[in-house]
Amino acid sequence: MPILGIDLGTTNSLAGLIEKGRPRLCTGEDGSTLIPSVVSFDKDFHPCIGIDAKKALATESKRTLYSVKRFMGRGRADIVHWEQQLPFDLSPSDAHMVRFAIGEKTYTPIEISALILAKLKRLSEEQFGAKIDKAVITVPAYFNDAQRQATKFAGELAGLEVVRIINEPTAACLAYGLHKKATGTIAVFDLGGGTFDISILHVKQGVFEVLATNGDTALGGDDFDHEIALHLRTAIVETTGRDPWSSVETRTALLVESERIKRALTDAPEVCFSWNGFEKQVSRQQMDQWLVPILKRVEGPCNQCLSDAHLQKQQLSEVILVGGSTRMPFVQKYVRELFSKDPINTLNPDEVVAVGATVQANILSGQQGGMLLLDVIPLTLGIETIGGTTSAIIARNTTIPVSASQQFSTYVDGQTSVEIHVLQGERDLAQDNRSLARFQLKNLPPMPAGIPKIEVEFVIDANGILSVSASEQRSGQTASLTVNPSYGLSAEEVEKMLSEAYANAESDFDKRFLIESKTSGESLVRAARKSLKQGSHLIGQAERDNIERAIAELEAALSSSSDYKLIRKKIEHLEQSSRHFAELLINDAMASALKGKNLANPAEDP
Amino acid sequence: MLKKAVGVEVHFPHSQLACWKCRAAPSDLPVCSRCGAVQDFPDGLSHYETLGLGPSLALNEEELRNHYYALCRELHPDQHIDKESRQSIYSLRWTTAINKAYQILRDPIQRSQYVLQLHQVDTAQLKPALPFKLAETYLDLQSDGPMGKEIFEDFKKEMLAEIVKNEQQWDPIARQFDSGVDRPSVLRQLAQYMANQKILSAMANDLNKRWKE
Ligand SMILES: Nc1ncnc2c1ncn2[C@@H]1O[C@H](COP(=O)(O)OP(=O)(O)O)[C@@H](O)[C@H]1O
Ligand SMILES: [Mg+2]
Ligand SMILES: [Zn+2]
Repeated sequence: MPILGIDLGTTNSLAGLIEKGRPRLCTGEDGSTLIPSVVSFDKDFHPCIGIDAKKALATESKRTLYSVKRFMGRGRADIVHWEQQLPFDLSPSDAHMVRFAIGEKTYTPIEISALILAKLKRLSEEQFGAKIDKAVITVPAYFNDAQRQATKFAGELAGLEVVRIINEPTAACLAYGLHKKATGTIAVFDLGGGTFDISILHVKQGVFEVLATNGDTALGGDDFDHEIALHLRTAIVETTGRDPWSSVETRTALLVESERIKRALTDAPEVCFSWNGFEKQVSRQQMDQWLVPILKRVEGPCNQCLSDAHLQKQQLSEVILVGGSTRMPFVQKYVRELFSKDPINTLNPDEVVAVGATVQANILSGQQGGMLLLDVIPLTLGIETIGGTTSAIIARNTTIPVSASQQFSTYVDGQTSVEIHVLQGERDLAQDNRSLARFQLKNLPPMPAGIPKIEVEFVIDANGILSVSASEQRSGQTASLTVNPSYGLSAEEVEKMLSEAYANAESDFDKRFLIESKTSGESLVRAARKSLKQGSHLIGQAERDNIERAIAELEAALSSSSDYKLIRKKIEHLEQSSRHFAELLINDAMASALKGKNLANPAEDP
Repeated sequence: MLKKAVGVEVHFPHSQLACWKCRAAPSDLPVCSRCGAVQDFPDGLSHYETLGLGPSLALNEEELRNHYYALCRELHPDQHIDKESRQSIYSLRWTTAINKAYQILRDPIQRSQYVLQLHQVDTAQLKPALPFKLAETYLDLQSDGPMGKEIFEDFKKEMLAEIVKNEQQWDPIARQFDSGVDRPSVLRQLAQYMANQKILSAMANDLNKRWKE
């Protein structure tokens, strides 16, 4: 069974797989491979996902959710500073997890992401003609554990086992390598709608080794839009006295308009902005001035990434650009200056991450011999020690799978238990880092402070799953745990969401495919019968028998089987058996048409 | 069997056990040469043995990397996904150990430290051998008083010179270590190099912090 590769983006999401050695992406209703990551709910709370939901943004802003990726794995406290900008409402109750309020209902970012993923799954199943229940999903390299686990859980809710989470810039590099047979040290600069990522990889002999990665999970094109909107708002207020910020609808409309202006300025040096009678010329140069201070925030992560990789910028063989915002001329110029190198902007910045996800999916289904990704942990892992400080056990950018251990001791006489508090992050104080788990090592025999020898071991497998164990060497006491997903949902809530998701999924795929296969099987039988009646003189007895048999087999499958796979097989068989006959029929029809004897197209359904 | 990476002699230790799959006895490591199955990772291998390398100090970085990639292509769990679970588990154990070994041996400083540890050289007692004036200025700097720009610049220049001088020692030490001649004396030199290196990098760090202020 194929594994789906998915780019679950802030702005757009894409999905696909490798077919006959080439990546193929599924398309939405408008024929585009970019499925807008927008979900809109109608009055009955039926979700609409993708391009149609995006159209509802301006008209139904209170019932339409976008950029939910920014909220994945985050609590209220994480987002206070941009809460004001949102057109939709947040539910006030919950500190651990952001919840969107729509009418009287609330939704978590995980559930909204699950709706998007389910849509991608359905589109792919329809277009690739196979049941899909496994996926590789990409996330920003700088996503922490909670954000990754939340993404994984969203996949599960959508009926997808997430076999691997990979980083977006890494995926982009895989796609680039697939295409170019690249060798060398490659920096991937990924500036999308909501996040910025920088990764440096060494590529050789089909091995993609991530050397270092860094970024900012709250920096992207959305921030550009917001900044542009602020400037335009000032101009509007000054001239007309009306404030677009005064209502949610006009504010959202201005943001949408700002994004349009921004894109237009990628192609033209100057555009005209008009707003209910107010008009203003905006030049690219002017916009660049507004946005440079925001773009400058990429510099810190880039330098840190280079230094973590122990590299000077001159040692990079290539810098590749990924993400919609890298289309902007001033971004390209900035990158060129930052790395003193012409960046490569020839990849399709919208699709490259998804293509990379399909490559990794292919590797993990054992189909892509000769390619291998060596990934790293993005953030330092450690434990809390005396005085509320963090003691690192595995440094960020360490290649996984990996294990490491360290010795600790007690600081109070006669201590009979110690708490192991597992942390993720770069800060010195434990409270500034993310808490991943806590557990106790108990039943220590009382000893003077500093005498117990407590060994704490961290083990990370190839999926990035962390297990921690602790043992006291003198007494032999041990304790261990695998760090469980923690993204602000209680165990009961997780349980409930999953059981609801499974209940819905049950009806899904098999039924739908059975109906579709039956319909197309039946019309194929009718068409084949009709053709035989009209053109059997064109073929010999043996070929006729052959086709008759294939028709009979398909009919038998249609009437007796509820197995869509069998029906599809028989359909293929009939199509194959009658291919030669179909060609003859067409030639014959053409010849007749030329003679003016107008036969109906024999292959056509009545 | 593994292909020999260019320039690197590869010798894995011999397994004590028969191959778990085809029972060939005793099996080769890391994969059985008869049936190709990944074998369990034996306890107690040194980082060098884990990578199938002799105990060289002067390892060439580029060659080491090529060799590491070749090992990963052969042993990484992602390359053994559709095999029996025993193979996946063993490939995970090997790769975990290989990653750790590579992380340490790729870096000359960590590698030197590890070599000293392998030969049970006690480095705790060793004092760095630095020019007296440099050490004295450093102590003054640490007392955190205001510092003249001139003193600061002088100190920086002298420190950088000392770093270069110390670094120049490493290559000859590494080469002599690899030749196997007079190990005790080489290990002493290596320990001294490390002691100096440690204090010099601490100085450079301090200086960087001050530089920013
Ligand atoms: N031609 C363009 N000029 C400027 N910005 C663009 C252009 N095309 C797309 N963008 C911006 O790129 C961002 C979306 O990029 P994308 O890589 O799809 O983001 P994500 O992966 O975060 O969903 C949006 O902010 C969009 O405005
Ligand atoms: Mg993206
Ligand atoms: Zn064998």
